[in-house]
Amino acid sequence: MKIFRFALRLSAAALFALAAMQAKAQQASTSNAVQPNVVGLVQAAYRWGDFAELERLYAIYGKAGVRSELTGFPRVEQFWMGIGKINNSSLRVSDEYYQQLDALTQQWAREHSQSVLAQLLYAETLSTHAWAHRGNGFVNTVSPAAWADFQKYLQLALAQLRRTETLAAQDSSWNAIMLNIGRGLGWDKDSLLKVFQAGITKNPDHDGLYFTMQTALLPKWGGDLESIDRFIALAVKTTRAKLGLEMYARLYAGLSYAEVDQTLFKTTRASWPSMKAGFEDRLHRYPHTDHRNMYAYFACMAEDRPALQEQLDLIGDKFDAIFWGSNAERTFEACKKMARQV
Amino acid sequence: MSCIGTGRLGVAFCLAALVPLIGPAAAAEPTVQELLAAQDRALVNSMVAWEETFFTLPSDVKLDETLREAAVQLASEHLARSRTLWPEWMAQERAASGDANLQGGTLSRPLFLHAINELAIWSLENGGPAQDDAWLKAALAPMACSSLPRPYFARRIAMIQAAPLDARPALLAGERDLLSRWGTKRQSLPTRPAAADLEAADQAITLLRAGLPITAVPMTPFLADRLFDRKRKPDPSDRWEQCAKSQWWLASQLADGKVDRSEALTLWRYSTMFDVNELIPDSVEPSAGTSRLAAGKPAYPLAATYFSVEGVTTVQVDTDALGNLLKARVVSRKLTVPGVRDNPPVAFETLLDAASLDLAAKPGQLAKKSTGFKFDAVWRLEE
Repeated sequence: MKIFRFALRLSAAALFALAAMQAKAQQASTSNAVQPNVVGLVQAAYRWGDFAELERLYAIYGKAGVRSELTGFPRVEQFWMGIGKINNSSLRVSDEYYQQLDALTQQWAREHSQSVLAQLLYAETLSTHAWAHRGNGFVNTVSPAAWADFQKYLQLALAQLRRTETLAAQDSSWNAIMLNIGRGLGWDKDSLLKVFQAGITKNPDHDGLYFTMQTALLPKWGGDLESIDRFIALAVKTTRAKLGLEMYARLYAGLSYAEVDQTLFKTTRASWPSMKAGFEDRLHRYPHTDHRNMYAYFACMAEDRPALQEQLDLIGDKFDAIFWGSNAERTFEACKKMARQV
Repeated sequence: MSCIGTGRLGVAFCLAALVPLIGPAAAAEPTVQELLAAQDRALVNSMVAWEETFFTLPSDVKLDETLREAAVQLASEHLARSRTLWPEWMAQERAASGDANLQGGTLSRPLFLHAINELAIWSLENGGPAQDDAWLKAALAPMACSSLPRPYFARRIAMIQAAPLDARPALLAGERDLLSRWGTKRQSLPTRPAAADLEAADQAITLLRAGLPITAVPMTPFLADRLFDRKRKPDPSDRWEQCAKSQWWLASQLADGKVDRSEALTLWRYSTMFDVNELIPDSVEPSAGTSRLAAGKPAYPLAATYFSVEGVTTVQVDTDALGNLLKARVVSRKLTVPGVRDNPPVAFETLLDAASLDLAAKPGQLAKKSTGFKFDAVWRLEE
């Protein structure tokens, strides 16, 4: 339980923001090609209780290896982003809202006992309910009653995943949900890594698993930066043949967004040349302005003026605050000024 | 007749009232009869134009091409039939008033109210078992409440779009059948359900909010979000919320199995029926349906004023042993609305309810009365 003693701010919001910035490129298409708005489609189907449509969408986008042609973002994560718009633990709703979601997804799980999605969705919903009790505050802001409910719903979610393991654990989303539950329950690092490894073996393109695992290793979750450095090294080793240094760049970027902000190059082993190579690798496959925004932000942080200027030119008027840290507009202005000093 | 408001109906009243002023020029020196005939034609044109606003299909309503074509055809047929109905209704109004030259707002106002009542009847009418089965499927379809465009016809067509494909032929045939009945005296309109039945969904939600168990199916996330948002109050004018709530209650009743399917469908129809409050201009709306006590006398509800609703509502009151008000409910209504003769004024029948119920709480109303007593609230518009 030591994780909770040190847990500072819940990472659910940070995770959500990170996932959002990775997924938002879907909506911000710069191409004339018609891209499906997977997040929106899933959100609408779930919002209106259309399980048949959700099942149809999951059959298309839940498959391993399916990525957005525009951004490279895994479709399966966009699917769960759409679910997350409804299963959002930060909504300003009373507990009855989550009780209704529990009841609805439980009904679907019962009626569609052979549906992987139905089983996963029920577990994910219970997990969301747990985090809604927990809230986004520091651990010392959580009342004993809220903590008990947090644990209760996590245990229910865990039981649902274990009960349906034979069927649903063939899907890497089972591992993604299990990682979040395990983090909440304070599982040790090795147990979480086993869940992660099993998931990434099933679907090597499920990028989100890396970020969920990394979250569990954050200092605010009782982890440490050395463990994260080692984890990123492992991730690069696993993905290098296919992605180059892309995961290196994205995971250190994720660490910055989630915990260390502008001190990335001072407090971690992040190497700007490697990150830069990773951003270039990503842009080579998916030259999207979202990726350029992220690249430019870290180029500025690393004071790499030529790279910054080049990306700013390519970004043009497509500035997107979500990639530029907590004081985005001011940071962007300062970075532009720095770039002009070349 | 003066122009009132700026809403759709208000504009229509004004258009009709202006007809004599914008009639044909006198260049050809028409006879009085020709002038009157021209005015009638202009009035019919303005009526049809107004009615078309209810029968448009906005391009942003997502419909299958075949359904859109069928719907456009349906609307076109109805509006063509309407063009012949309006003159008949004008003749009826003139006959009823005893003034063969009735013109202007005095003529157009009852015609509009007649048509509004037909819209409401359309939303309530039962087209037979096959149509009922199809409408049950449509009402329970997950996306039934996701697209509720403003024009009422488009709203119904959007629900047909959301319905299972196998229900579509019966639904479209049903629409054609129901629209063909406009202007006729209906023999068997479904009776308005008891107030307790109409309030049952809200009662269940109140219990849920209190953390008490209820027998109901789970809500859609949309409805749960609308109802359990901490910063939001229930909004009877939010048609998406009302639709989702009615759908949820219909599904709950059917799952429970204790309620007859046709009764459950009737309740759903009344819960989702065409709401005349949508026609009240914003300048009138805030006070509509409410009664403000002024010097001990309730103000005439503005919505009822707007639609010229008069009559008697009978209120039954339950009291405790000390004579304190426990519950009041409207148990019957005898209302009149200009232009509405052959059928009950279903579009307007609840517009005096809230004010009538307020009377039950009026000081002195309950003095020495035993529980279950009834009183009549008589509502007359002053000239």
